Amino acid sequence: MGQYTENELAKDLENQDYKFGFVTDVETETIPVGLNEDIIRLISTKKEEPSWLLDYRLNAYRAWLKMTEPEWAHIKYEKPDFDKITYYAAPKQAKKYESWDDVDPEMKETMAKLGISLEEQKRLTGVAVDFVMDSVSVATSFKSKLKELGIIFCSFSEAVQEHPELVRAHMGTIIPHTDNFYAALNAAVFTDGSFCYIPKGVRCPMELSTYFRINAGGTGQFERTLVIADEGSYVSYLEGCTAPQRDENQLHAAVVELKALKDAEIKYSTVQNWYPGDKNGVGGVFNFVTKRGLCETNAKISWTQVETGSAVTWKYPSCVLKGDHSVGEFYSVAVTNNFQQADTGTKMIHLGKNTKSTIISKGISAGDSHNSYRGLVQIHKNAKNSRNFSQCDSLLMTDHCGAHTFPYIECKNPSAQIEHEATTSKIGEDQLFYCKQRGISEEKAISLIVNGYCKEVLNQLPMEFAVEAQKLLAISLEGSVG
Amino acid sequence: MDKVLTQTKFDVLRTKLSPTIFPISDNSISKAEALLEHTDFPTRKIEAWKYTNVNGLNKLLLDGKSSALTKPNSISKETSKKVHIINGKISKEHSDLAGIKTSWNELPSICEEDSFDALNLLYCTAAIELTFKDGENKTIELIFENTRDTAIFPRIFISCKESAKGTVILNFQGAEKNASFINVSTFVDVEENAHLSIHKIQKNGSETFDLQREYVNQAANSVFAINTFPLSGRMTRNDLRINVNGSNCETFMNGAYTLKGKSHCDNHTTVDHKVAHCYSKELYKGVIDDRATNVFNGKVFVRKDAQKINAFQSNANILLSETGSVNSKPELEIYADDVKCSHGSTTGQLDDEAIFYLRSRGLSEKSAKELLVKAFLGEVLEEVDNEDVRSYVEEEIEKHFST
Repeated sequence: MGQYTENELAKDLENQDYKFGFVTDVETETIPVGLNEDIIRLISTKKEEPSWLLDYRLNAYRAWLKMTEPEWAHIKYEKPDFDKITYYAAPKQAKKYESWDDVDPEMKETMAKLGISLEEQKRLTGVAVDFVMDSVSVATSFKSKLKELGIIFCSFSEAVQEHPELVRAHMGTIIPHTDNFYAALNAAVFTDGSFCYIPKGVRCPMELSTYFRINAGGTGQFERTLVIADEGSYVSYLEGCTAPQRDENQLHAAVVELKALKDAEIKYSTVQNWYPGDKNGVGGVFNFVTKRGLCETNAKISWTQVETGSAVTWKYPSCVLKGDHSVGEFYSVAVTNNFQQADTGTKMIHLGKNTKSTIISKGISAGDSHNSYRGLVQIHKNAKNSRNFSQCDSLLMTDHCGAHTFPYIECKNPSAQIEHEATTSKIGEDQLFYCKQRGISEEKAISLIVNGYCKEVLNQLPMEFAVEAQKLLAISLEGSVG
Repeated sequence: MDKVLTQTKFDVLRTKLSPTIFPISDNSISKAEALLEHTDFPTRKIEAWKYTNVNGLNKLLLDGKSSALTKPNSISKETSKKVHIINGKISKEHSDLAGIKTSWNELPSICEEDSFDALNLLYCTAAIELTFKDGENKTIELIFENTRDTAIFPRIFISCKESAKGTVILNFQGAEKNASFINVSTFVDVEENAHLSIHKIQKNGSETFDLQREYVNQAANSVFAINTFPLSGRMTRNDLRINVNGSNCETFMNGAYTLKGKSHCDNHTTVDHKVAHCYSKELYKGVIDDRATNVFNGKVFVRKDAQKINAFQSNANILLSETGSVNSKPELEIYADDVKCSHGSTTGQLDDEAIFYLRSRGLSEKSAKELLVKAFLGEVLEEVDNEDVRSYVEEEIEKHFST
């Protein structure tokens, strides 16, 4: 790839329909460090929120004060000091680099491998170019199309202002503010996020992604997503960024709530690639996320996740199968390298009759990392003829990493069928030998085998996402041959 | 009121117990007391006791009320040593105690931080050491007969010396309505090249609480097998902890349970593979009826550098009633890469088509189900190498369905 100089960049800028210019310091105001009721009031005032939302935040904060940080997960980290965090910072698209040349070459290389366009690369690294320009038109054209169908897709703050009745009716109904330590923290201090509503019987014609929604580009550490699929509707929602955004924020505590009403279907895909820390395990993001979906009669929620980033991941996308005949699915690939730790899995709560759930989890540990699957399958008394199938495989790449499985299976109905199986092993020598014998280098061979191993999950991802995820896997495992 | 001064649940329980007559060093006493001081029974918040509530222990009167045990049956028919422990105390007249240590200058101290083990030490009612030497290949059966509502605290030490082979049958028999508190600690040492099998039958009275712990250490090239059969009782909890300290070891854990009524059964097993080149296999299967609850928690640890480990773990349950419940948690914690570890867990019901097939051939629904359950548990029984134990358990399973 040719060098991209500041001059060329300036030339590019001149040629474009330049609306907003460089991001200035206007928006970068922050509030005092620390957390107390005044801070929460301040956040609420800044966001011009209605009083019910402020009350909700304060209730959550008071509940949070009484909670203790969970310690049951198989992870070790230094607990964040909640009094040293700034809970409201202006959007992060402030310029980070003066020119493209200042960008870390390692990162440039990674992005080149991912096949990201130069424009996109500049946007992701936050080079002093306003990334808004290019996508704004795209976004607006999509937005008008969505509007025609009655689909609401906007930032959470926008939704609070424009559709308060919808937000108020559904927010916190799936993950109450008292749910857990991080969910309570999020409920108290969340700054923004996404909101999505699909009306009755509408099939969303495109994959909704935060990528298209410009103002979500820099949502903070505490984001909140609420997706409501009304009766008989369908939506596929993509979350996360696929490029290695060097986010220095130490703590991400997001909350995602999905509600699939009668006959609705939500497909939620995540590719998470936050900064995993350096090779010695210094730095990196703590990713403590609460995700849960509720299925009414005949509804379906499918979670697909590819987790390659973050120093510590603590994440259990769950499905509450409340309605009869509802379906929950969980497909996950979690890759850890160097000193990363992941404790991730799912919960499938079967309440309704004839409910079905499938769990496919593929863990890959390399370097000195630890990768755990922790899942719960719970069949309640009335969940007649429920069915669960779980498969959790772990692949170990070196002799100093760890792979663990902690499945909880609880059954209270005699007509339920539950199957769980898990395996742990390393890449077969014979498979490697076979590839190498045909002239494929060891690194390529491993990437090939790992991709095959994850195929079951990657197949669930939307097309473009799957391609990037595959490349991401290869990058994450680079140099991990042990 | 100062919280420290209130009586803990252990304090309440201890008022009903009389201290052991065996000598214990002051050091051991203070160590055990420290574990019981200001301590309540484990609650659901403690991971290992998430599904098991032992609060009912304090409802036991332990007043010594007696009820007749219909048939104090010994299981082993072949010539073997038999030791009878009646209501917690060794009955010398009925037992063959040659070569078995029952008197102590000092009881060995507790080895793990467990409140119930501390209780076992302080209130020990019988301390027995069984030793197996090279070339003997004998079977020892310990028969625990419980005819009174009382608390029994046997402490059992089993030592299988280098190259020795031995079989131990731990046979717990309780009168039908017996409401005892059984608390057993078993310490097992399997030396190099030794081969030890333990068969444990827990046929307790319907109100009995039975909490048992086994601490096993395996040296290189040894084989250890334990078969556990919790057949009846209000609550049965088995904590099996196996440390595999030497290479080329084989470890087998099997269990079959038939639960009905209000019984609660909890099997916790841990295999800790500390060194390379070992094999372990675990198979627990059971049927749950009425309001019974079953808990299974199997843990396989593979430590760093413990390469070439093959570890398999399987738990299968059949839930027969609307009111029963099954909790299964097979866990793997692996820190080495060149291993083959897998686990599986299933919960389901009898296959309708299989029942139909049998019924179409003239079997009643009841006998069709019985046949299928027997076949289901048969997989575990096949692993039992002791003919007497196997036929005894088969008989018990049959009885379980006929009553």
